[in-house]
Amino acid sequence: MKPFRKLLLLLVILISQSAIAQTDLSVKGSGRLFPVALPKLCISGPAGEAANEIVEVVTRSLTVSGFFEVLNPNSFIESPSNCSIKDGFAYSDWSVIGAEGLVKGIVTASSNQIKIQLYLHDVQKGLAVLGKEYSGDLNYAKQIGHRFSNEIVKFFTGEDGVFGSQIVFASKIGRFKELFVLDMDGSNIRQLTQDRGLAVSPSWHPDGNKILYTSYRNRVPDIFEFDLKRGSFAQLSRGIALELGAEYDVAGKNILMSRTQDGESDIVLINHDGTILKTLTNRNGAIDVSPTWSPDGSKIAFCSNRGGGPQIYIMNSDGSNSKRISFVSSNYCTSPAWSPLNDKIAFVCRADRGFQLFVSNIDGSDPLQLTSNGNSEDPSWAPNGKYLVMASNFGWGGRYQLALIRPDGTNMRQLTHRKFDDTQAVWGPMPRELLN
Amino acid sequence: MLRKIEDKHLKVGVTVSSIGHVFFFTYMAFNGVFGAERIKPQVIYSVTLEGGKTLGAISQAPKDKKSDIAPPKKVQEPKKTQKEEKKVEKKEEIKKEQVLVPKKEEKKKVEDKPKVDPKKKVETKKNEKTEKPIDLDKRLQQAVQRYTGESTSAGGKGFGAGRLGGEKLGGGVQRPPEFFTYKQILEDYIKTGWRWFDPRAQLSAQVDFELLPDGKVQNISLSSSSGVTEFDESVVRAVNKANPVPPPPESVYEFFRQVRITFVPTD
Repeated sequence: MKPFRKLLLLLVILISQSAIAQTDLSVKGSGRLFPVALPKLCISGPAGEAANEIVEVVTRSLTVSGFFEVLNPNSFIESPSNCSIKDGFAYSDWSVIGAEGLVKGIVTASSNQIKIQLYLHDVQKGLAVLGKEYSGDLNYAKQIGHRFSNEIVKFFTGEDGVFGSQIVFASKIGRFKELFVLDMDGSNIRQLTQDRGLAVSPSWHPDGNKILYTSYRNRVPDIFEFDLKRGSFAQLSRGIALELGAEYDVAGKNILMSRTQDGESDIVLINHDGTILKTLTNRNGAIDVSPTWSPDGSKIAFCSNRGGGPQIYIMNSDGSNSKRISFVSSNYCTSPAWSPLNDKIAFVCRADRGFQLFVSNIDGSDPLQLTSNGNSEDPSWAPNGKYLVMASNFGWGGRYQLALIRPDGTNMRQLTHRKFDDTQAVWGPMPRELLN
Repeated sequence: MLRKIEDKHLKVGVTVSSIGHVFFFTYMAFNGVFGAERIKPQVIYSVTLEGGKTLGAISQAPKDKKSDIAPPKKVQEPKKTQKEEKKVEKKEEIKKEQVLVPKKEEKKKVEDKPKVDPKKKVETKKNEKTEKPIDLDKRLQQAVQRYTGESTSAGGKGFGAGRLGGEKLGGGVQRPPEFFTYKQILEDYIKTGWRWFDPRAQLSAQVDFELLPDGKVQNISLSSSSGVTEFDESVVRAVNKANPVPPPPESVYEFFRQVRITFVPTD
């Protein structure tokens, strides 16, 4: 029997050897922030200011995205005088402080021109994964910072960046409401209107250079257009009807809005001089408001009380085939916003003792409640469809402030920190010069 | 040559061969082909958000990033949306814990749950034996003894071959406790450095590597792609970042020569 056992044992060992040839591990759940090092850019000529601004802009952009941890420069080991930006430096100096991404660059400036070379390195791989050279006017530093930030986001997340885009909003100052605009990273707030009245429900022209809004400056609410480049406005509609929520179509030609006359509110399409082209909803006695286009312009989402309480509906752009899509057991839903990816609709419903933000599929299925405290209103999508901006009064002294949130309800962060109520935020398109 | 072999030897040979075959197939039948464990981590259990009725296993995450849109369904009430979601997440957790090593934070939950895979107990409570089934406990001890070469009558030092005959289970590879301890260490170590921005992404990728006795990691390769380049990059970075890992105990090094890690962003 002994030899038997020996042989069998051998066999078993052989089998066990093959069985342990590989061990399987599993890792569930990652850290969320990509650590990125942004050492000072090297300079040549009078470029100090531009170099600082670029680092500042990239730092702010990456931080506000919520996906990056910009490492503290005090932890850097490499000497700041090391101006090797593509190679010729030790990646170990950066991996040891935990960096995954590293941005190195040189700014060369003459009297009014700058040339900027920027490299993004994958520290763990030990190679430059992206190199860009930008040149232009001396005051383009900020835009270049935004552009490169978008590249960094794209490299790590695969998402299109939205740095450099702007958000328009209405702010309540005393008795008045005026329009303001700010960069999506929360910086650079500028006042647009000086109506000393109510300037409300802004929306962007697709080219990003004009803003439509409703103003009560002539006592009767009318549609105006603000030209951002010129800093001036023009009145588009006149008359005694109450006109609200104007929005350009995809081509930037005709305007969709709600028009209230004789206690009846309908969705209408007008052209640029204010002529009504078509009334899209029936004059059925119901209130139809807050129209918004689908990204391809083939459909319209709006709010209507035709079934009782206000709910979200969608219809074809010619007004046909309207159907309700909000079914979240709330008797009050409003403010639809169609995702630029054409996959989701965001809206607001009364729930949890306030107005809360919801996101559902276009047909209303799979509704997800994003907020549950205080009030959150007026959602608007980022051009990449990966963020929403909203006005929320939760935890900020009861005041409405703008906040960003991911459409899955994660990553909420406050955008404005002001002593006024900021509402009706609308995210603008990516400026053409920032599209790579 | 054959003629030279005596009948007796031939008989012995044939008997050994047949016993060997029987043993081999029994082993396969009980333990699966070369250990079912290898297959398990390649499976992600996922749940469609509504109601959690369909618990299904998919081996690969959807390739299209946009396809995390769930299929149309009956609309729920707002409060339910969140509650239901939680319920589903819980279910998912339970399911997943059977195949994946629990993390420290999850220990609490693990204790609350009545049904726990015994293997996992071994991993989480390395030194507590009270809750383990007695049978397993005994076998584990035996395995350790065999492994350390104390009681094996033949073969000297070998990797815990199970007892032959007699018992119900023919035999198999018993992993010593150090195996589970080190496995956990390795998983935690690599997880610490892994960065991926979207914890809800339904993605999964696998990385293979070879481990040297001193903890150096080499031949890192992506063995299964998530379909999302950036995600794949993040998991390869994580392994690169972890290199070198804490060296494995000599006693269990053999188990970790070849390692495959499955990365899933959801907790």
